[in-house]
Amino acid sequence: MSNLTYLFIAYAFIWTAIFLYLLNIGKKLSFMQREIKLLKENSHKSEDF
Amino acid sequence: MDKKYLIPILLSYVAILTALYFAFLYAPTERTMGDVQRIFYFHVPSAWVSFLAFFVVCIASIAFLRTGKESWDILAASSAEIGVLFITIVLLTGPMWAKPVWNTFWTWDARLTTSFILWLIYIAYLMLRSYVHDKERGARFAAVFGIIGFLDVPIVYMSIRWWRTLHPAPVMGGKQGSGLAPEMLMTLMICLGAFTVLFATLLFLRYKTGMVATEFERLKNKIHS
Repeated sequence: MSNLTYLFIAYAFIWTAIFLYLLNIGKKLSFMQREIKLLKENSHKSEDF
Repeated sequence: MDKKYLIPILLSYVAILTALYFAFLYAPTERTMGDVQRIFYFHVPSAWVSFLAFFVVCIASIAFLRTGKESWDILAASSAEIGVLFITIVLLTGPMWAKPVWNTFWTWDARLTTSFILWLIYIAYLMLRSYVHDKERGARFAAVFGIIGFLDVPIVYMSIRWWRTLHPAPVMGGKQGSGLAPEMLMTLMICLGAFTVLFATLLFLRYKTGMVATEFERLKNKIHS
């Protein structure tokens, strides 16, 4: 393999890892926000009863 | 997207683009290693960010043990996760640089071995957090583990000074004759700054996620009780 291939693989590792981590955080955050909204709605409904 | 999230993300984006410009276009090609040496501009900042992240784990863990505030525990856990991400990057990019230069992907030399141990310590830290069912007890165990685990960071840093290794000698604060060309040094500084901004952004986002998750658990328990 040439030097440039190693350079490319190294940079690909870096950006893939950071991108996947960011994606993971984003997914977690939007899931939590959605669940909280649902829970709040449910709790308001049960209070109304 | 919320403005409070957008600003740090945009700031990191600009910082990383600047770092890439300097690493690939501004910095001169190293005479003996050639272009593969450019791995250095992101390999070293990744190591710096992992050290910084584990330092935050240590400080937040001490604060958690002193105050018992959950927010310190969330900060420590968030920082540990990011630290593991960056030390993994160090352990993956290092061999990519080592193979064409040392003719081997890995060697059990002092710097590489201590870095690998550091990775194992914080992987164990994250596993400890997820396997202990009693959340409060788990947080206390993890805090103690996080503080003790940080002891490996100065050992990793000093390893190339204490032992004779294959790993390059320190480029800053090293022996006489060591050092970098001014353009390379400037590029390194810019990359260190950019990675620090990226770390702050990731930590902010991960910490916020942790806080939202805690609020979620609290609400769920309140409704079920």
